[in-house]
Amino acid sequence: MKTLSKYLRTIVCVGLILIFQFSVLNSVSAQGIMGGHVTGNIQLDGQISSADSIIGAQDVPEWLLMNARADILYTNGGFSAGLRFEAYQNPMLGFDNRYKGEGIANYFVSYQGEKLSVTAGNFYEQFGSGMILRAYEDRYLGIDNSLRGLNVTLRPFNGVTIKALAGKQRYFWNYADGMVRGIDGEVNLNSIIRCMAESRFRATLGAGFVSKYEDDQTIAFPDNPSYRLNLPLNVGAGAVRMDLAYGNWGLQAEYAHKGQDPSIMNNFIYREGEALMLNATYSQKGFSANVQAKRVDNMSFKSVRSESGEMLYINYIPAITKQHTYAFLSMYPYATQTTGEMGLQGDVMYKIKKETLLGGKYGTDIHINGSIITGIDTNNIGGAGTRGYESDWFKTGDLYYADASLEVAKKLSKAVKLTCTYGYQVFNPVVEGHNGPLHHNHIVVGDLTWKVNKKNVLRFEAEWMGSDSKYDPNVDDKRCGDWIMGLVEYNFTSAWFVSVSDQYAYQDGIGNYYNVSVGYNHGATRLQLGYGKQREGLLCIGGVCRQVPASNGLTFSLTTSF
Amino acid sequence: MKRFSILSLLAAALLCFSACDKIAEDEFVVFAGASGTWYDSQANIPTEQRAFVEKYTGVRCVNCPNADVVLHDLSEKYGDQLVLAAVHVPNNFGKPIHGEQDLRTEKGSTWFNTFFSPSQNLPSALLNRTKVDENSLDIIDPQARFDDKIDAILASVSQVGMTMSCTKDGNLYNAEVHIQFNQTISDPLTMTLLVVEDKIYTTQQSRTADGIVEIENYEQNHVLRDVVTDAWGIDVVADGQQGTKRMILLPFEINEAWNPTNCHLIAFVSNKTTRQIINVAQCDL
Amino acid sequence: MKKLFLTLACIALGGIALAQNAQLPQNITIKALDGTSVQTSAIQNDGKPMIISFWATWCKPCNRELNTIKEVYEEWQEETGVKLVAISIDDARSAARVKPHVDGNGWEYEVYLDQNQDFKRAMNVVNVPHTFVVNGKGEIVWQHTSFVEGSEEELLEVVKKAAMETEK
Repeated sequence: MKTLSKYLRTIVCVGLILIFQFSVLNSVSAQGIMGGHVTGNIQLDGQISSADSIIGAQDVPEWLLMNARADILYTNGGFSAGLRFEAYQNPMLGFDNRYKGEGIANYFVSYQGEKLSVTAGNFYEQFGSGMILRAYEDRYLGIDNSLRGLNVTLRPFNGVTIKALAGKQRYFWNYADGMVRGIDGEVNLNSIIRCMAESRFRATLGAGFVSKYEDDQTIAFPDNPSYRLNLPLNVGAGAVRMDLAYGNWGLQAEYAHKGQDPSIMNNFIYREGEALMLNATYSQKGFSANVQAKRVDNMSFKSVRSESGEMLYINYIPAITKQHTYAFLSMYPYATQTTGEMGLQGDVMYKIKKETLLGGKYGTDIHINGSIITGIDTNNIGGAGTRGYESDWFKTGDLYYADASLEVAKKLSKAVKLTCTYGYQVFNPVVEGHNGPLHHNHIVVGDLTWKVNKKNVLRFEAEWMGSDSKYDPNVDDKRCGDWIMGLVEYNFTSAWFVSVSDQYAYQDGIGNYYNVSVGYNHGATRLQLGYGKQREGLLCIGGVCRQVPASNGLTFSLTTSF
Repeated sequence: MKRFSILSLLAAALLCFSACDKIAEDEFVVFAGASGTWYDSQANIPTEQRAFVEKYTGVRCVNCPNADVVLHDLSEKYGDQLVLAAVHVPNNFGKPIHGEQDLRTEKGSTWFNTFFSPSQNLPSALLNRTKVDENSLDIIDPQARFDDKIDAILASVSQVGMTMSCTKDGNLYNAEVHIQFNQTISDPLTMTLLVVEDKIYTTQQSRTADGIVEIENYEQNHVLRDVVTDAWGIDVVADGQQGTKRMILLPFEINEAWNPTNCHLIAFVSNKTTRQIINVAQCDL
Repeated sequence: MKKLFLTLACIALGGIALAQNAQLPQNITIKALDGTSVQTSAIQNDGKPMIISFWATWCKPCNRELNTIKEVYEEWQEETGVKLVAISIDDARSAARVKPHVDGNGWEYEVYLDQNQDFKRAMNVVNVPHTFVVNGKGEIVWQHTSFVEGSEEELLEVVKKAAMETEK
């Protein structure tokens, strides 16, 4: 009964928001003087779950889990105001239980002018690539690092952007104690230097600084309980970056440095942090290549020093490995080790021209990708309350992850397109916090789309993964073993789709993930129902990609924007 | 408008750059205040009751030397039964004269700010953490019968008996405190350990017949140097039953600027909630 | 349970009923592929219709959509004067791959990066692909999420209608 009333409350709240929109809209259009627009989006995800230890969907006492959210945005010229309603009754699997509850999670008022933008309330922002500051959200991962405070952007001249901000980070239904302040400047040389305006050489330079303030607290010095750590209350991080291009060539580089920041993430050491990211590209029509390199050393930067886990990151160090979308290729996603890693990634795309021997009638797309990520060299000095370790800049540590993939996409006829992918992966479970042998996986994917006629499209996907890993109940990694998968998807225009799929561990593993999904799209509204077992991960069916949580049972999802 | 906003952004930039603390390697860890583990004690613990007077004073407090006279007399009269500490206050009264050494301490300031308003008249005193009267000035007023209140405490049966000693090992001192429950106490108790130093010479302002004068080389006694536990002490871990005897070893360091021969160590047991002091003990370093 | 589904239906209908001709947001900053900051007011096509498509390098249906349209883009342009503006929502992880991806695929679209997703939020985009059609007056006249081969025909119809409206 109690849970039922909770759902009702959620529904009433969503309803009230809708009534609010209707009334605002009606009054706007009726009076026609305010001239603004109300837009928004609504998303409702639910699971009716049954327990299944085999797929990692936990046994949940509530039979219905639901996440709901609605963004309402009012815009009038440069002014806008928005609020977001969120409800988690109860949070879906994979979402932190501290989200449980409902309410207005986010609001802001904003003015966006040509030279000046000001936002008060919740805002998202990023300096450069985010190595020192990135306030962002990923609604499907349950991450909302929005800052509540003030964000000002100035564009005094064409080509110059200055940003300044201060705020506190969202922490579930509260705000973290740590105060985040930052400033960033960016100059596009081609815009400010007249003789460079038409140059083939393009250059953008930027620099930013972020400082976090947090009150003192007592953290015992483990070697002697009579001592405590002398914590820096202000932790600063700065970064410089450049983005250069000459004709078909491009080079991006960013270097970030962080002051002493003993925290639970680095085991309270006083070593300063740094990160370097390089990216070089060459591209022309039909051919492109890029190489990325990075080195990250002790760069976990959070607004609360005692916060472990995924919340309250001020910065964002991206993984440079390719984000795969086929189920088996993305089964072992690599997550950046902010405490230290080195990596190299390369990507080549080539289009074999039409009417050639290999290109055939329609041409062939070839995509090659490879990456290798290792730890950094560390020479231990001590634990908490010391500089922690020293590191030889060019020496690598343990292998964390490596992959190589080849994708060939070819249109066989006007109606049939085939994509074949081969991938090889080496995965070190230590990146997920477990010790164990490396996993070596071979993956083959075939993906065939057949446009039967104007309105009916069929898609078939077959995947195989051979792995040297074996399922071990003590470790309980359900991805181990050899797998096969099949998927059939039928689309009636882009309005309706039905998909049936099954993933089965035929050797050395456990699990059988069968799934049936039906979806309906109309305009910006999408309704999807599914039944079966599902792994968490990126799912691309029915013409849309989204991150999904693990589930077992019935799932439904509604998204709409207006 | 544009100029203003650019200027304010520059100001913000400067603020940002100053907002980055750098801690020297030898200061990564700092003394946290003594903490240790409680054990059962086998020692012979006296049941004697003593009283603790903390005087709040300052080098710019012109009436404070009068209080020192009174305290001196009280000390003569009660001997070891009266334990004294002089807390130099964080406001202007305690500010050093002519850039001399600062007798104020962080934890002493915490005490002052907790017990008094910032505009409290000085000298003031607390007897076993009880205000003697509203403005606590009667420490120098014979009418207040300060003696009587001390007499009353000393005449009472002690709830907790205490004894303590101190040993030195290299740079580290070790305080050993024993307590005995003379009656059953259910309230949680804390134990606070502090260092006071005698015979510190500073300039002191004083009111005389000739008006306000500066006395050079004024002898400051019982000056609170540091509370080596947390300002409000550490929890006494005991079942509180009558007859229970507990002991604790607390290692601590002293500042090089202090003269150990003039230093004393004071330990008192107080009620964690009301902060009233139950008993106190003192020893030399 | 009944109530729940009623509400779901209500929201869905509400969403459709509320679809009004909102204007394209003006002063949101996005980045061109050469690194210059551009405001969304610069997204223009001289009074002719535009297709605005939110996509990501890692999104297969998005790539299918943009590759499918590529085959017919020239014809569409001749017929309706339409311009396709592709807004990449790739974040720092894959943003560096956008330019090589666009060139490698041989796309002739106007491509911008919306790394901070300000534009995405302002347009209420939840999943990609999400495609908008904007008429010559800068009004959003149609939007659709998801792509399946063949649905480009529907898109063309909408663009044609928008182009005719503009001519009137």
